[in-house]
Amino acid sequence: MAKERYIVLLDSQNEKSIKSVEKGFSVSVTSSEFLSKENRSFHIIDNNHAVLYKNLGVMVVDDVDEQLLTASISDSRSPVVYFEKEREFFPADEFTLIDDLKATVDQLNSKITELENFIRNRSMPKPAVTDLEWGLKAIGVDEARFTGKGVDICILDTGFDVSHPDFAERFIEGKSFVEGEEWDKDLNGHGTHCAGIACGYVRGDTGKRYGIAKDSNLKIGKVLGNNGKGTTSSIIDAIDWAITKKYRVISLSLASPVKLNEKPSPLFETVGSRALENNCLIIAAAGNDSNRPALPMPVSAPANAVSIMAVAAIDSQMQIARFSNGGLNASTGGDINVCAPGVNVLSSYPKKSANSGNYQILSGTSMATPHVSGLAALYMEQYPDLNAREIWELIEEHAKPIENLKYRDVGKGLVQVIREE
Amino acid sequence: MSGRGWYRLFVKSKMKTYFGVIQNGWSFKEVETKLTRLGIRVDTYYPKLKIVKFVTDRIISQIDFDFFITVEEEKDDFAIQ
Repeated sequence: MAKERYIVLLDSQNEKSIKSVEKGFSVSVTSSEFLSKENRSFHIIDNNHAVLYKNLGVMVVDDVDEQLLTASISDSRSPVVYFEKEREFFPADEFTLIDDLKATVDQLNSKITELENFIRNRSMPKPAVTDLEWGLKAIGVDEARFTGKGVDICILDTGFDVSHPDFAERFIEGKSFVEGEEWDKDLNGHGTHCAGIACGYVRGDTGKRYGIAKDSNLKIGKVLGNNGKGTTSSIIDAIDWAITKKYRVISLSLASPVKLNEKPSPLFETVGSRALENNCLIIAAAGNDSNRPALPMPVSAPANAVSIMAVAAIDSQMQIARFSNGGLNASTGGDINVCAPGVNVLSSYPKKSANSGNYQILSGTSMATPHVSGLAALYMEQYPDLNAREIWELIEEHAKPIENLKYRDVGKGLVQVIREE
Repeated sequence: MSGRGWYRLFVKSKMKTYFGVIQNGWSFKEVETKLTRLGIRVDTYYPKLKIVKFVTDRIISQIDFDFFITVEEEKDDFAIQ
């Protein structure tokens, strides 16, 4: 066992004081005057011998009783006024210092990791969501008891950025129907935005809620290229895939414009009907071709098919969105069924550069559509025995008419969460 | 080659994609056989939708597809809203 060495400061070095020290600590004291090349201090100092450096008034002694030293400081008769353990000093080599710093950083990192794991894994309730985006408030999500748990929502769009931090812990299934482009990347951003509204939850940075059916199962079908455009083939391929997979909701934030008095496509009419027969509800954007109030345009395809739910967009002032198409072709089909928030809607978005964020505000009937899709998932969880057609009826039944807005423009009105009595 | 021949070559090379919704009472096998007899290639059959995607360079308005409810040409103008 290594011996402790002490540096002891004396206030007096007269003979009486030295003798008192020798007696008190059972050592013989050699003055530094007698040190030489042949008689070095480390040869002398042991538990029986101490060296006194007269010019300094300091004595170095080995392995004495520390309690005795402490007691002697408070003893007015003792010459000892202070003591400390001998310290080790090293040459200040830069690389040694750097190595020491590195070792300290490593230790610190290890502690931080340990703390981080502890915080992440501890079973504490997450802070309550205190604020919601305007669209979620407008449809009553703040009062929703359901989260779409277990309901498969399929977003057919430009793909999805699976690296988005808000979806890091989600299992997302997908397929691309666009040649040479992958479903799990979204170079456009539109699909990630729509998926966030329907299936997201809260912002990672502020905690503000922007998504509706947070516990739904997000399914992605890439049917639009990175340029935001697609074909009948990719859409039909994807709908067939989604129905085969038994997904309950298909959300189509896409459209192809139609002319005034143009009849709806019998093809999409059939697709919507077959989806409903397979317990799958297709919800589609009414389209953005209008320039209101002067120039409203008819509901686009495929939303103009009567077997597909058509969604118009309103703003936070409960006004019809300038661009939102309306039921102008009512005689041939093509009504609006319901409306939902579609102006200045915040949702998840791919981070496209170091300076851009993970969120974006967009407007369109594209944004209104996933509000209804997410809500449909809440209904499906709330009423598990109802089929897709009945869920559709329930969505329309609970939609709230908006004062001064026409049925032609908003259908049955603004969709609403069903509040349980 | 005459001018008319060049025209035929141009029309023949213009293949188009169509979607046919199968009438009730017809099976895909029967429809496939009929289309093959008409010289039309089936691209995809969607069993859940009972829709056939096919490709042809023929003018479809001149063909009697009694086994389809409707036939529509592929569109490529679907876009984000």
